[in-house]
Amino acid sequence: MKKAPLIIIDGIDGSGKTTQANLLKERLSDGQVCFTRQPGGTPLSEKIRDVFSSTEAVEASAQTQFFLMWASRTNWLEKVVIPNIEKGTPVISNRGDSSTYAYQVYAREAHDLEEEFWRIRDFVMDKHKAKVHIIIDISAKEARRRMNLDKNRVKSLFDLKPLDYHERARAGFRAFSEKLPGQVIIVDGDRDRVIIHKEVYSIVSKACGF
Amino acid sequence: MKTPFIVIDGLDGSGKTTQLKLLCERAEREGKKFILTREPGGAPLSEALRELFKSELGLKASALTQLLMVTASRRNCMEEAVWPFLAQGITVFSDRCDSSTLAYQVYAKNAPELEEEFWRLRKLVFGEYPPTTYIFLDVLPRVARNRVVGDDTRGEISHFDAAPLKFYERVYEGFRAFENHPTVKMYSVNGARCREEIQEDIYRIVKAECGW
Repeated sequence: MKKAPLIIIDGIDGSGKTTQANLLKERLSDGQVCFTRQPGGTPLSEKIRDVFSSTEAVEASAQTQFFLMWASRTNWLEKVVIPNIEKGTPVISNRGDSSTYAYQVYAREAHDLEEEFWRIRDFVMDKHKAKVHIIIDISAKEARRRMNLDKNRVKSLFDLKPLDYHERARAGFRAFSEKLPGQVIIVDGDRDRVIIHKEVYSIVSKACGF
Repeated sequence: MKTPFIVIDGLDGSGKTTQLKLLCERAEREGKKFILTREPGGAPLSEALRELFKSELGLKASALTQLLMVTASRRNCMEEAVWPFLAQGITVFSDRCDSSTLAYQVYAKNAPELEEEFWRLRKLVFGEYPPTTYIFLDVLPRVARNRVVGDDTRGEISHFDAAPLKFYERVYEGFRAFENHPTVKMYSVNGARCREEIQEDIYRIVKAECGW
């Protein structure tokens, strides 16, 4: 069986990642694709996600958060990503290693983690890295405006961080794409969701060979 | 002199907890300044990770997942419960530390491919402040296991307490490997004696290390 791809949809909070993942879900049948998220996606990793949303974790150092995210990611790779892609089912994830780079290295300004990020990424993800990262790009200001309009959104402690934190994360996603030419596609998120979906869907179907 | 950061470690059933209690009581009686922490744990976030680590999901996780979980917990413990005290010149004692990680996650879980990664992460997590001294309570695997299995007063059934002897043997081998690493200063204390004799040895080492 041919190995299926891992596709990561990423971007800052409020960029429309989840909306785009949901639009893909409506269009792709269950079993055709496995939808998952990071941190989370497995029972242990979801528990780590809960811990990660606590005040202590949000205030923890970039280093502590960094290792915690890699622990969660390792478990998720072993239990969700590898079994699915090896049996030929593509995996689409809401967030992934691009988020760790954007938030822990860039937003938190822990540039001493840069080298370690690429090293541990090779060690942990090895031959299971994403075939493509789709980054929904939008300014932190516009993302904030949208989050405020969305009355159903339960704001996380991360959502409440200042605009420059989110702007640094955005720069982190761009830096991530520069490090991996051809593996990261930046999609302009400041457009109508249906138009964005068309672009996202065409990237996904190309990567999956639909 | 670097502020002492002393780890007490050993197999489950080696008597760590008893000895740490005796050590802290005596140091307190003699008016010494120190704090006691534990790993995983020691700070609110790392205690939450300890709980997860010891849950069924945590115990069933792969060696690499466990290694990264304890590394996250360790970094948090260093930042919150160890470094602030070392910076004030206060001695820190820790119930377990990275020595247990090599023993349990790498050796006991049969993951030799993680050994190099362990030493690399260790450097990263401790930065300039690795533990200055380790004290290993040396009890043979069979003896440690018999103590654990035969003791129904143990509240917390920890880690892999009820595991087969083979498991205890691999953990033991892991501690030995840790001891043999060139960057590590580890004292072995014969733990197969009465508790007072063991404590005498431990206290002597601690006194010398702390310049008390």
